[in-house]
Amino acid sequence: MKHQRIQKHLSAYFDNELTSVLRKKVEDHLRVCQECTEMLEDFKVNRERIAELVHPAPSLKNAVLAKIRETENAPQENFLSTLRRWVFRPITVGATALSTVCLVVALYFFTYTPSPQYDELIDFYFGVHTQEVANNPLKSNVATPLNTPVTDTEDFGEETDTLLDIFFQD
Amino acid sequence: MSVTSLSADMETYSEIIQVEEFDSQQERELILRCQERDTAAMGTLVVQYQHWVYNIAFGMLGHHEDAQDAAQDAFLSVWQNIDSFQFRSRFSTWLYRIVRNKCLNVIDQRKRRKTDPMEIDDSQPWVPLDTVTPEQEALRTEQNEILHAALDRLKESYRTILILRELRELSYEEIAEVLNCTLGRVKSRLHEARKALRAELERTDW
Ligand SMILES: [Zn+2]
Repeated sequence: MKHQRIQKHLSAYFDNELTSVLRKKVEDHLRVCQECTEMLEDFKVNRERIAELVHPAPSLKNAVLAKIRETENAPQENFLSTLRRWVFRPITVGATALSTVCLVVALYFFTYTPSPQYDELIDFYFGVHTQEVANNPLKSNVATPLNTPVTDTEDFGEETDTLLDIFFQD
Repeated sequence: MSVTSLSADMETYSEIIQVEEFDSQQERELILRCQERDTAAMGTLVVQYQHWVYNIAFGMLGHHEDAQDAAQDAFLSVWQNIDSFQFRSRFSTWLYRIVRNKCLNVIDQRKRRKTDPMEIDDSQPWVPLDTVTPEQEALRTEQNEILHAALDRLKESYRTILILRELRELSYEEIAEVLNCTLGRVKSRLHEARKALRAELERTDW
């Protein structure tokens, strides 16, 4: 194996994380390569230096337990104050404004009572439409409003025939 | 040593160092008690882990006050999220992942404040673990400062992996758990990190 490819395994060799086969290859290479040998030596020295950075830690127990008490004994905020705090956060203020607008529009929509004129107009057009449907033999089976008198198409046909008879008799 | 006897206050440095490591059953019991909101059990966990939590944070941040704050925040996070720990990984690696995240937050805040590169904090006296002469002590502190500065110039991912391996002596498997990556990734990143530190130290003519 080439020097570069062996060198990639040097760190794992140093940590004893190589398979025996690979380990043997690295060891063989180290016998002939000065550069890799020096690198391995530096890894060793630097490990010892970093290990020296370890020093006694301050006691954290009391501080941590005080923080825990602080967070758990903090006066429970009521719902309104939490909501208020959330609503006025800079990041949510845009969303708050938008939802307020939506709320106002929704309220207006649901509480709006149409004027009588509007009602009449709707009734008028609806009436015309239902009549049309009822009178059209092709559409009459599609929708027959309950409050419109059902026109019997057969009767209507007979009536027409009678009228035509009278007309042609003359 | 029983779990309850460890709950006693341990305020001095020397006592903290001598805290015995728990076996996994003792640790499991403590975690279960924490999940039942037992603060005394939490105190014992803090005593058990504060040494490494602080040292990892100090290695990553190079600043005593910041490391202390990050370590405290990490433990507070443990308390607040202990219910989500389901024993699927080692508690230690779960904890170190939280510590790393807290340190990343501090690093982010520093970047946002656009402060100068961190200064090496010397307000905390170096407490020698063995007896050294004042000359040796002075040299060691200076070398530590050079090392901290070199570590600080590395990419965060390199610094973290070096701290976890060389300082905390975690196995590749444990490092993979903390960093949430594959063993192959640990292997290659660690090699790159060691090479980068070596180059950085050579540059400063150590
Ligand atoms: Zn070589």
